[in-house]
Amino acid sequence: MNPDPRYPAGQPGYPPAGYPPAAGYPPPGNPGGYPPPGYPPPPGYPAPAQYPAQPGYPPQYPPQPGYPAQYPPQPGYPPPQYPPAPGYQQLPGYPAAYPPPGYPAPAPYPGPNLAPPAPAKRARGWWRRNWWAVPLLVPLLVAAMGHDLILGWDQWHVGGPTEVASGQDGQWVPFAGGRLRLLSLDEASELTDFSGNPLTFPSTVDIWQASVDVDAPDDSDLTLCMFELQDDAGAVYSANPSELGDADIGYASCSRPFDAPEAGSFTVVATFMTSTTHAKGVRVSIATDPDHYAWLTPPR
Amino acid sequence: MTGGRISRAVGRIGLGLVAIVVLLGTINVSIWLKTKADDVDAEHRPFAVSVGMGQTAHARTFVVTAVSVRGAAVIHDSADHTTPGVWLIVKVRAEAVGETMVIGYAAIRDARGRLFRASDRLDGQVAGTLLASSLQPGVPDVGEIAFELPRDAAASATLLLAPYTAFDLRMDSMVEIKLDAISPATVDEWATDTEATTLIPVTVAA
Repeated sequence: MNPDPRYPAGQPGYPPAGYPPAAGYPPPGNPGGYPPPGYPPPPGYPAPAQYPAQPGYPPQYPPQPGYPAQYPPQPGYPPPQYPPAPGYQQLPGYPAAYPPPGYPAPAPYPGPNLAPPAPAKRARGWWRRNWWAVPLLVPLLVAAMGHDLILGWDQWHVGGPTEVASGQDGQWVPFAGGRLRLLSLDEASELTDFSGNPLTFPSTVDIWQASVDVDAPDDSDLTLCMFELQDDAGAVYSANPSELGDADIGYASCSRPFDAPEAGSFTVVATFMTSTTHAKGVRVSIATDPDHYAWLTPPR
Repeated sequence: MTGGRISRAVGRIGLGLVAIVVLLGTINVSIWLKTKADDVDAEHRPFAVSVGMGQTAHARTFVVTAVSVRGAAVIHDSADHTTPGVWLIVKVRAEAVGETMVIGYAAIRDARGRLFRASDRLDGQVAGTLLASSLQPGVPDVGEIAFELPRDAAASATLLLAPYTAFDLRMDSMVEIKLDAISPATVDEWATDTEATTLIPVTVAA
């Protein structure tokens, strides 16, 4: 058994060729090197410089401030002006001054053929220490903002109809206990007042009229409907505008006109004053159901 | 577990408890501050859009310009309406943005901070004039709004206009138009003019 695993068992060249093991010296290979630490050169043996290079000698020292990265080739140990490595004995005849003049004291040296030191344990980073709290941010965010989000959604929801009932172009759309159909959506060519005189408007204004078929029981919620026109840009115009108060047009609603048939569907005309030349469709809503509206598009 | 580990664990638990106490204390102080400093009226006040006479104010749902100001002692609609103060009549150009709307709320704030709502003594203020008219997107209307004021309030007035959806002015735009200053002599002249005037009807602006 090799009592000191840092040293390889058996050293080539020991004892030197033609020399018996020195009396009183440990057997070859334990520890290696010649002479073994603490033993002077045996009398009659050649000087160390005559021995072949030993494995692991010179030791590979880590770079030290002010020292060469690597020791120069032997002979001689330690190299001139270099301190001995720990575990090696200061041999006779070598500089006793340690550290040599002009050199700072080196850090402790590892022994020869030592296994590389284990890397220092790195400090755990912020994320490693706190990752567990990150998922907690989600329920905290919900707790902090949830009430406002719900309140905001409610306010948006009651701010106007958001649920749409729609159908094919020009086809019936079931809505509020009845059904509706947009027959036409056109620009009005001419409006007159109640005396039959033509009404004039600035050229920036476009008057649109929508003819809508209504089929609903007289007691249904749909009779309280309101018409709005929507243009390509998303602007919404209410029917029955104040500016057309003098125009000879009927008030648009889904109530059965006095001159309509007593049963079945009837047609109402909704008039809009707009700034658009591109009407897209008509929205119909009722006051008793602020969440829903019917979206009617004209036949193609 | 060694003594060192135990003491470290106890130290960490102690730090955690301290952190919780500090957190709860912060929340408590915050709630106390919020309770003390809360002013719901201030939080929900309208967003002011301030302009001068002749300048266009862009509110969230409408665009408006104060065109001119005049005064009178008597306004006639279906009857003559006199006042011990003076009628301040502001001509306004307005149009909706995005969807049909009604301005609904009009008031004068004088130099002392007093508020005078548009008079409801006049037929037209209730229906048929600008204050009650529906404005269409992109279609500017021109009309007049009349205010019955003490004479000293007319000299330095600010016109306030806002959409009045469901009688709620909170957290929406309110236009504040600083009207041109009017000399006391002019106010006196209006207040002593016995000739009745009428408000112009709402018309679509060219």
